[in-house]
Parts: sequence; C-alpha cells; structure tokens
Amino acid sequence: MNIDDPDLPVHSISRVEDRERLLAEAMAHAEALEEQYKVVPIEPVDLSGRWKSPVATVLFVLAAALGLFPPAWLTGTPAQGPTEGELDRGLRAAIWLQAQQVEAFRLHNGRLPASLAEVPGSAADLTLIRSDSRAYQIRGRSEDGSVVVLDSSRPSPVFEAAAPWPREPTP
Amino acid sequence: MAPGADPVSLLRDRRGITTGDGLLALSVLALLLAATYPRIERAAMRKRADAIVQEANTVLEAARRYRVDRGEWPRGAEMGVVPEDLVTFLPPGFSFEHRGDHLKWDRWERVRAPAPDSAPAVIPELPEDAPPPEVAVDSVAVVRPTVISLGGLTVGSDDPRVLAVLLENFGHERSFVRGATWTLVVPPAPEGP
Repeated sequence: MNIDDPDLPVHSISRVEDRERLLAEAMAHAEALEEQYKVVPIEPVDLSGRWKSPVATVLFVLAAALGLFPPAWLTGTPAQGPTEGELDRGLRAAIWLQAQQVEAFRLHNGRLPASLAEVPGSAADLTLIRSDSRAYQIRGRSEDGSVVVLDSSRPSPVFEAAAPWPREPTP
Repeated sequence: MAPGADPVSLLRDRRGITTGDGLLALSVLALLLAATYPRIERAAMRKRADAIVQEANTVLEAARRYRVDRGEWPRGAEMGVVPEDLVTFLPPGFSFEHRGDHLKWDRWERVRAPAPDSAPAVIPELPEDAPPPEVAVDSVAVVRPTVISLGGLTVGSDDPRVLAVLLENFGHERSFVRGATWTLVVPPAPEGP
C-alpha cells in the first residue's frame, strides 16, 4: 500500500507514524497557504508634513521678490546718488576750475601750457586744445556722452556760474 | 543605530528633521534677510559716508593749520597718498585710503580780474625810469589780474551715494561731483560757520 497516493482513503491508513506524517504535511501546507495569503498591513501615510514644501516655496518666492524689488515701506527713503543736474554742473565746474589753472599758469609763465598735465589737479578726462598761442579750449564729456566745450575767447557764463566758489558781486 | 533597524524608516521618523522642515526654515531665513538687507546696507553706506566726511574734515583742518603756520596751502599729492606737507599736521597713521574711498589734496589757483570800476594799480615809478624833464608824464596804470591760491580736496568713491552725502555736507557752492569724484575748493580766507 502506497500512502502517497492522494486517492487513498484516510481510514485505510492504520499506522500511527503514517497518520502523524500526513498530519504534519497538512499542517505545513496550511501554514504555507496562510503565509502566502497573509494580509500585509498598509503603513499609514503621514500627510501632516505635506504643507511645508508649498509654504516654503511661497516664502522663497516672496523673499526673492523683496530682495529684487524692495518696496519703499521696507527700505524707507532710499539714499540717492547725485542728480543729473548736479553731475552736469560738476562737469562745468571742473572745466572752469581747469581753465583757472591754465590762466594762472599763463600769468606765471607767460605762455599757455602744452597740456593739462602741466597744471595742478588735472582731470584725466578733460582735454586742452590750444587754438593759437593765446586762445584755447577745454573739452569734457558729460554723462550722456555729449561734449562740453569752454572756449577761452568766448567763455560761456554757465561755466562761471558753476564755479565752486561764491560769485563775485557784479558792479 | 540599533542592529537591524531600517535607515529609511529612521529617516521617516516623525521626531527627525524632514526635508520640508529644512526648506521651511531656509525660506523663513531668506525672507528675514530680504526684509532687513536694504536697511542694513543703507546703514552701512551711511556709516561709510560719515567716516569719509570725518576724514575730509580732518584733512581740511590739517591743511588750514598748515596754511596758518606756513602761509601757503600744502602741496598736492596723488590720489590716496598723504601729501608730505601734511604728514606732521595729521593724526599719526592717518591714511588717504578708506574702504574703497580715496582722498587727494591739491593746491590750485584762481585768477580774479579786477572789477572794471576799481582803481587800477599804479606801477611804482623807479628813479631809473624817470623820463627826461622835458617829457610830460601821463599817469601810467596797468590792470593786472590777481592770482588767489586755493586748496582742493577730492574724494574718489565707487558708491555715488557717498559722493551725494559729501555734496550735501559741504554744500553745492564750494563743492561739486563729477563722475566718481567729489571735489571741494577751499578758499584762502577762513569761512564763517
């Protein structure tokens, strides 16, 4: 008798060892099935931290906007550089000051300087152009690129008006 | 870490710092920085401008004392270089360079033509110039311009706001801004307050 025959009726197995073996096999099979179909519990998803990333993104965008375009209420009155008018007046004052150095040089030496390097306080971007032995021009370039010229033979009053010292009382 | 513990599950532990927490903290920090930076930067600029105004005043004071002592303005020097004449009149270790700002002292002149209605200067007549007695002498007068010695202080700065503060402090009548420099012209006569 072959007890491995699945069609063999159980009551026909008389030996205790065979019955115990069959029982153990059945138990093992049942355990295997239970393991196979065991329900795996799903871990609960933590949704509490999900809001942080969007909020952080919004705050980053806000920070970038404040950094790039700071509103007036945040900065107070912003400190400004010189105005265009002040820079324009500054160029004329510098040219007039250089013209004064040239005139003083002429008084001391009886001739015009060959260049502004011969007079004190010469500005690198101003140019002296001698028309002849007595007349000259001093040229400078304004912020907008236009050339400003002082002609010693016909100096415009705007240069004297820009002079960095109090105006002489006119007689 | 406990043996057998899963590192991924440890990272997911609620008690740890998550990526979201880190991002949130960084964004709050960035927001605070962006909100306070303009005022901090402005305060730093103002401090820098005040310091250069102070230094300019120190140089002016030294130059005036030199003039009182020697009867002329000190000689000029290159930008950022303390003029030799001023070394003993300035505080020890005083520098003409200050955090990106540079000072320069110059000695300038200004020519002033006499007013048309003022009396012309009469050339003194020397004995050897005396004409023969038979020649009638007219009054000879020569009008000559006067040269006035001026002091000049220039400050070069890469921040135009510093130049604007200098202009505001020393006045538009005596100083001007041009490009990246501010220039002050110091007249010979002491000025009132």
